[in-house]
Amino acid sequence: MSTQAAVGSRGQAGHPQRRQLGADLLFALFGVAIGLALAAPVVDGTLAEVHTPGGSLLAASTLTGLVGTAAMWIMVVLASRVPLLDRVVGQPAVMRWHRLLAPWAVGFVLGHVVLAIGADALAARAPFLRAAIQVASTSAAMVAATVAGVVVALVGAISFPAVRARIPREHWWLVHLLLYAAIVLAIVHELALGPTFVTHPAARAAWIIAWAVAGLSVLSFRVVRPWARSRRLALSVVGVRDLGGGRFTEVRLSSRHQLHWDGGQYLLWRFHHGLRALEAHPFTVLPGSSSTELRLVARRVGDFTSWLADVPPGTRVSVEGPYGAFTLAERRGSASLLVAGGAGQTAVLALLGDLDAQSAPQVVLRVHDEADAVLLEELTEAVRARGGELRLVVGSRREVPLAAIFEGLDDLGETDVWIAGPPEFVRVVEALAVARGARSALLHADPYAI
Amino acid sequence: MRRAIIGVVSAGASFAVAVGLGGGTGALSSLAHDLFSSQTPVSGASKLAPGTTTAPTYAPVAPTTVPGRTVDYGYGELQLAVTFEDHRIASVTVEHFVAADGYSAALEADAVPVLTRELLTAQDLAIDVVTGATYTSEAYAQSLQAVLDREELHAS
Repeated sequence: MSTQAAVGSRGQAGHPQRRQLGADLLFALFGVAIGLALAAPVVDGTLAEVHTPGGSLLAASTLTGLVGTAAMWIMVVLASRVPLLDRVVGQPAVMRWHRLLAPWAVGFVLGHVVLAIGADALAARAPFLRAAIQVASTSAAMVAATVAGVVVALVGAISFPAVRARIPREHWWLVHLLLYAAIVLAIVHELALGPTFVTHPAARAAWIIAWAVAGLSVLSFRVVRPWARSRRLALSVVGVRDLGGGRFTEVRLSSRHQLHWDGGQYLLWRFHHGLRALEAHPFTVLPGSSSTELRLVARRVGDFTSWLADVPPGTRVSVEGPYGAFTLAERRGSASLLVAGGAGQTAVLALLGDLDAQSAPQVVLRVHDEADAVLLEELTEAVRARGGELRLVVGSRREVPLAAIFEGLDDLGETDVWIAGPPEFVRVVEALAVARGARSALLHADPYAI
Repeated sequence: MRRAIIGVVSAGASFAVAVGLGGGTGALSSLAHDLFSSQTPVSGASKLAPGTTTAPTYAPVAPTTVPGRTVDYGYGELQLAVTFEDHRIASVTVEHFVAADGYSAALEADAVPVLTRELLTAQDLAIDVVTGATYTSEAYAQSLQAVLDREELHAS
């Protein structure tokens, strides 16, 4: 196996401290967006009009509308896969913030709708429903806003956990893409009618620029770049085989050009075979037998991974990425401990590939039973080549507590600890590592959700 | 956690700077006044034009209707016309009005009669802004300014 041959350039990641600063600045920018949204109704004169019929509701609706769309702007930036955010924070954490912000953005926007109709009802002395029809139909900008509001309400409704659990992930994802169109309509109505923008060209320009930057980021990092990269690589399936008696599937792919990535990163893989082309799934990139061959190893857990076992050779594959901050670029300490739980062995194997021959890494693989240790041979060889030690911990949590992972290891003070596995496993092992003296700055986690 | 603090601090700082630079401190303190004192709020009316209070005597004796300027004030377009009779402003009519949205249309319908009543009493543009309809009030004054100025010149 020629792991090194396919390993990518690590230079593009940049200096860790400088990247941290970059992410801090981005968060300061998010704060500024919310701060300005809160300040706008105070400055633009809306607040001075609270004594008129509907005036206080109108001020509240201006405020909620601005804060709601500012939150949506942040969500779009978070979803745009700006390389900086992915390299520093890691895509799973970035998307967690995206999801955390979502109910607030939807709530503020829907609150804005109700308050605006209420303001009109008071100003025109009309009942709420008639005011709603009046508000929705008076101008092109308000028709646009109505469509946007309906889409936001729809996506909000299908995102309730109870509803979302009944909808296939891909269907939900496709519907939620409608929000991009809704946002364009919402911004049009804001610029046409928002007291913050109508008479303040500077505010108007700032808002247009902010959205243009966010939109271009989405377009370039999520559409153009992956498309161009996939086209250049021209990946296709070479072969598939079962590992561990059918518990895992290994897919080998050929590529026309060499892909550059850091060990531990993942790609979003899309198999162009019928309707499967609508889905993209994350798997760690593993090197193949040559520099123009790639592999992925997937645990068979659901509908898609079962289908993967029978994917016909020659199927065209496009990819997004590589993504992920679970790489050696984050190394700070002098020694390395790599802990893999179950399917986390793929990320640990990939990371090992980037360690040099003198690194002497400690590697622990924890599996429920031995048949699950499908990459054991490759791991053993990679660890031996780097003068390290590999330990296999077999047994369910009831039989063998996770604390066994750290048996016989020294104090973890200056050791980078890399943990890959299911979220619950990662959380517990992180806590155990901290209890053994690991510094939180030296903990690197790669929890994957199924 | 650290990044959450960075976000909150920069939100507070940018709010303070924007309100400070944008002249919003007055609006904030009057809001605080409204919320925390039991007194009825004083209406924040401001005069649209300084003008004199004496009734002008320059306008034509026979009824004449003079159209004003069409003003695009962001939420709509407003054009008024003034009818002079017997040296006085006799009536104001809306020549042209297009609202950008229903709320603005409702405001216009409320504000224009109030402004006209004031104008007929004052006989010049030294009238109060209708609170809640600042843009409409300003457009009202802008549309009529030139007409009243011209009539004044005409007379002098």
